[in-house]
Amino acid sequence: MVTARIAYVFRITVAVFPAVAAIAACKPNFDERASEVRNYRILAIRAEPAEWVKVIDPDTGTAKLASYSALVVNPLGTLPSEQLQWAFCTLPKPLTELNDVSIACFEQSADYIMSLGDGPNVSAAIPDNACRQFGPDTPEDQAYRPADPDGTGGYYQPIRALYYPTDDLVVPALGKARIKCGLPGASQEQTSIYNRTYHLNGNPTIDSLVAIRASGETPVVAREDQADAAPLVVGPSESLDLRAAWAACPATDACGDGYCGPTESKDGESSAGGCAADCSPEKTCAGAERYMAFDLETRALRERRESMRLSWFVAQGGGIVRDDRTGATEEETTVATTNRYTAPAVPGDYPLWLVLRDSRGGVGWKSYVVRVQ
Amino acid sequence: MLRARFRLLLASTTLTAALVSATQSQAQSSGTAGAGDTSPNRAGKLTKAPQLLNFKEVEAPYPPSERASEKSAEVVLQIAISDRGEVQEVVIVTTAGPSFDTAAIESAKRFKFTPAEIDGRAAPVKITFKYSFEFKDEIIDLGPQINYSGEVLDSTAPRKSPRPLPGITVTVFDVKTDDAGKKTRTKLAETETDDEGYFEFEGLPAGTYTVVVAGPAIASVETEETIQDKKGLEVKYKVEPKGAPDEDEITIEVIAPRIQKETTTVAIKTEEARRVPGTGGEALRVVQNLPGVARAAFGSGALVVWGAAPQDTRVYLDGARLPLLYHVGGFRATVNSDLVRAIELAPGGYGAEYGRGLGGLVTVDSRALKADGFHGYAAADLIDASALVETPLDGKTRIAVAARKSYLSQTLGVFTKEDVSELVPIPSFYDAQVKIERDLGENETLSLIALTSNDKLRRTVTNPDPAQTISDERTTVFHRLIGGYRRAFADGSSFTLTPSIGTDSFGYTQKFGSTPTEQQIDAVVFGLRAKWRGKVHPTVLMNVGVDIEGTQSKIRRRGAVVLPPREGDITVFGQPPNDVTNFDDWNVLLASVAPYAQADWELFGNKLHVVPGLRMDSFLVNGDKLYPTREGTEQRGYLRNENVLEPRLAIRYQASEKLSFKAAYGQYHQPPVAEDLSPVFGNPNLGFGRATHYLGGFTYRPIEKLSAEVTVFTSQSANLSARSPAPSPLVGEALTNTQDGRAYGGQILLRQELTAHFFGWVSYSLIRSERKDREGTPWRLFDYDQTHVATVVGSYELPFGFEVGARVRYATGFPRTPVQGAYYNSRRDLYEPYFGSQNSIRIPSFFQADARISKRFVWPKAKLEIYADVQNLTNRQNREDIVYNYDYSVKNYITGLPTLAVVGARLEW
Repeated sequence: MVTARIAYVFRITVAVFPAVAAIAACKPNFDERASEVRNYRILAIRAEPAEWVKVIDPDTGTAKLASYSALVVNPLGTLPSEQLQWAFCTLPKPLTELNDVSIACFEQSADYIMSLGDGPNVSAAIPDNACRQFGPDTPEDQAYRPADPDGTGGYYQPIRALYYPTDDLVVPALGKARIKCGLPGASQEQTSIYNRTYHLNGNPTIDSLVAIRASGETPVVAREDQADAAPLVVGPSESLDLRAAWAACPATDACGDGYCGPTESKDGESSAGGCAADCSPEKTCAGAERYMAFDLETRALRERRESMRLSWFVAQGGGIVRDDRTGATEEETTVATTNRYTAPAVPGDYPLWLVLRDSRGGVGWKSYVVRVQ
Repeated sequence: MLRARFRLLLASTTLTAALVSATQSQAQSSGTAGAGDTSPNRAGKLTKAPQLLNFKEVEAPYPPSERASEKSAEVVLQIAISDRGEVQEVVIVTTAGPSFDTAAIESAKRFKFTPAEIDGRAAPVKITFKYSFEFKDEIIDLGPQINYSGEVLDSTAPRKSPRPLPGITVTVFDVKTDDAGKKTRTKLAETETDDEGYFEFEGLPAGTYTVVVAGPAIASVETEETIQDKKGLEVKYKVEPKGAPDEDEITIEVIAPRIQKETTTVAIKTEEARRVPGTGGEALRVVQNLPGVARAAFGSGALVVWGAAPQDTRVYLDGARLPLLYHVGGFRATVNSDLVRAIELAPGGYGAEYGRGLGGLVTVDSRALKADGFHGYAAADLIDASALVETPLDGKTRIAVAARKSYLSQTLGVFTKEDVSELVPIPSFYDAQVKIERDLGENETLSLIALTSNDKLRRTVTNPDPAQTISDERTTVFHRLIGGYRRAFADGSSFTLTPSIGTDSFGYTQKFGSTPTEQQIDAVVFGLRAKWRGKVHPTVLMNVGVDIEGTQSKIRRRGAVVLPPREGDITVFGQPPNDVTNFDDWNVLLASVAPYAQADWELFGNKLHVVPGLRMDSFLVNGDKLYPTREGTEQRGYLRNENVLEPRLAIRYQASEKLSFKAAYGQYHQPPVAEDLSPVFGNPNLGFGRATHYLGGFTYRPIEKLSAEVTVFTSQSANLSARSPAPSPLVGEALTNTQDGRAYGGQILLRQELTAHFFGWVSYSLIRSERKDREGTPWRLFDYDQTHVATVVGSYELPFGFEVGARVRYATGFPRTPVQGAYYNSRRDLYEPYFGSQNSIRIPSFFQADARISKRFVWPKAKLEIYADVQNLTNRQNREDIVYNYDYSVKNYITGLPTLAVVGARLEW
């Protein structure tokens, strides 16, 4: 247990008519930081593909599966995560709960928990009624309230991941697989355009990490890219900037640029946005993709860009990052984000994890090693 | 000291020719058929003349407008009487002028006769009736009378503009000298001057007495007065102020219930209210220290009365509804205290005149404007600056203009390098009022109040993490135009008409990362209140009227359906909002017409008052959206009408001079709020919440100005709106009327009213408030439950214009739901808590001591007060809410303000 430190976030001394007034707001600061790994943690859950739509495999006649994996760590490094239990939760969240899913999803009930198996990753097809349970589709004969989309217009199937590092310890986590559903309240024409121009999300990728010193820049290679990659070597207590970058996606659509954008579709004339080269199959971009969304206020389709969010994680005692999270908003076109890293004073090898998320639920991660010497 | 004596003048109306003989009448009628003899039996003989039964009860007073003339007058009336003895028609035969004619007719219309008989059978007749008015300088023994009265005036004021001194204590002592020459002084009676500096004593025995005139603002003076048998004494005492008397005092009154103000209200005068430590000189904030009122959460200013939700307690200014009593943060009232005569807080069980709320009732009455020259004040402290000016425009018209502007965000910026507003939203507000008052006649006034109130709260917190960038802006703006027409009649009855119109605009725009939460409500509100109050019987005082209110709202909302949190939502402070989103815009008209009647029936020689009342509210709910918008589908609106009957009953029994008992019962209904009638975020078919209040108690006044009041109550409510618990609710049913509520408890108030140097009170409330979200679920604590609330307030006047005061408060912490763990939400990269039993823990109790010190400087035409209001003397870190670290593994508290001195100055003239 860590003792919280109370810190007055501001203190003011006021002298008026020779009297003194002092105001101090009173918000406690906590020692624990989201970027610091102190125990077993699940840092990310990823679905591949990042967005689900039911596609029948012509060879098997069954739906193609999506695979789910997780980044599980402890202060010593990345864990193999064999002790992960996976399940779909099929229970919608009541309006009386303010979380993302019904708390019942973390209870054991065969009525709404659909086990997917154990292990570092599992594969499964999303339940057929997902858009009905968690999306806008409602049975024609029953006037149920459609679920509300997130800010990007997306709906999600909850995935429960329970990690059991020991017999008496469980680390619960919630993943959400984005599912493509219909549009609530849109006209047929809008739905038709949307179905043609909305393209499934792709998971983002951390392209590079660079250490920036006054003396120059040093690329850092991730363990996922090269298992025996050289660590980032720093001096004890050294501070340096780390810049992480993701892929730059085309700002405008051009057929043949390797990205199926929101004005392109697999069918039709090229003058009308048809681009089989990029859209059949749909080619995604591992950065901030543009996508078509339905604005509930204007009731019109409009093009948007994903915001990107990079989560920085270090092990307890393995240094400090200035900001727990950095990123780029929807309006920002930058493809990189920088954070300040201060190395620990004690020599040794320390893990560093970066998790990149786009606003449509896509996830990518990389693991690094920092050597203090 | 000037002392004046005067003769007791009693204007008396006497009946000198009560009844002309029926035979004469008949003959007269018969002979002057053209004058309107409508007797159906002209040929018959009058065998029994009608006898007037109730002249004394309905006797017309001598018209005040004619007093100066001191003339006698006679009005000859022709009165048509039915065969049941009721007056059917009154016609002037001989006029004596409009004032006498009106008074005579009004009185004659209420005559009751024994039926006349013609040929032995009851029959209608006409009689001629001479109504005589005489102005007499005489003494009539009518039992105990006011036989010593007068005014206390400022001797430094110009002779032409006498300045009354309110709140001055006048004490009558009987001084006896024993055989040894030793004098003993026995207090016979004591009273206090009212707003006009007037005081009176009733039924003093004849004798010579020592009279002491004392008050915090004057030097005590002593004199001798002689009361003669059956003669009245009226005096004027002109005294020299030594301090700063409050010429524009208002009264803060708490009634529970409002049965009869004289015995069931606790009045706290402005001069006390402003001096209560912790209020920062804002008189209306004293309400927050009264029994039955929970301590508001830090910075909220919400009124939680007898365990009811803040929005269930309604606020009225001169009968027109206001959306807010306090500006955001609760630092100041939205109406300038110096324009207020009285504010009454009825925690429950109030009468039929008001409704549409399940909780308490706050009524604010504006004061009459001064007609004696140019007055005003200017004040400033750390929070805001305000000013008021008032002046007569002509002999009949007066005007007052007041304004206030806060600058807390700027003053904080001067004294800190940090951008405070990034951490805590600092409210910015202003308000302004104009009141014009015109006398239409001696007992007829017309008034118009225009007011505006504007609150803004803005905060932007930037963060490298786009998901943690927060912007928060809230605005609350309302305007009102409130008319007032009041006429008092010679028989003591009065008629009041209060039309009002205005606009409300409430908006909030929050963005937590890319998650928006927005709501904008623009409404036009209108109301009309008409009331007649008068005696219909010597023992029955009626209050009948109609209360009309309407709100046309245009609402736009965007964000998660679960935001902002409602009562009953389980969440923790600072929890990032849900990022699902939706949108809706809709229009709603909520209107209601409520006729009501209430009688105050005196029994057993005024010892027992039974006050039954009945109110019928006819509600109209008209919306333009029954279903969520769907392209290509025609939208359907709805129109609903619901009528509710609300019986009310209050009883007060004066067991002795010192002890009185009270009890009350009432049923109340509250329409849904327009923002809950969205087919996306709420439910267009939401029904009406209802509540039943029961209360009882007693008041004991062992000595003058010291009182103890005990009240117990229970309130049962049902059909309250709450979120649908269904995993998949039906379309348009995000909210349902499934919640029940109950609150019960009691309160004690022990109070020493303002004496020469001291005032103070001790109050304690024990209240339990609970909710049951739906059938089959257990009762849980209400989010605003505050079981124990205790307040001790005292203020003492020192020599040389100094005054010190202290306030100590204790309150149980609000309930909270414990966090039992958390899971990691990978999509949003944050932890989400899971909870234990709802509202099963509490924030630790609140305890705080405040102090106030002031110094007054008084000049002939102005006075200046400088004060320091020091809050949290002991620098105790009161816990205001529970917060958790990022993964909910560590709990801590947000604490309240440490020692804080609000320093201010106020100049009055």
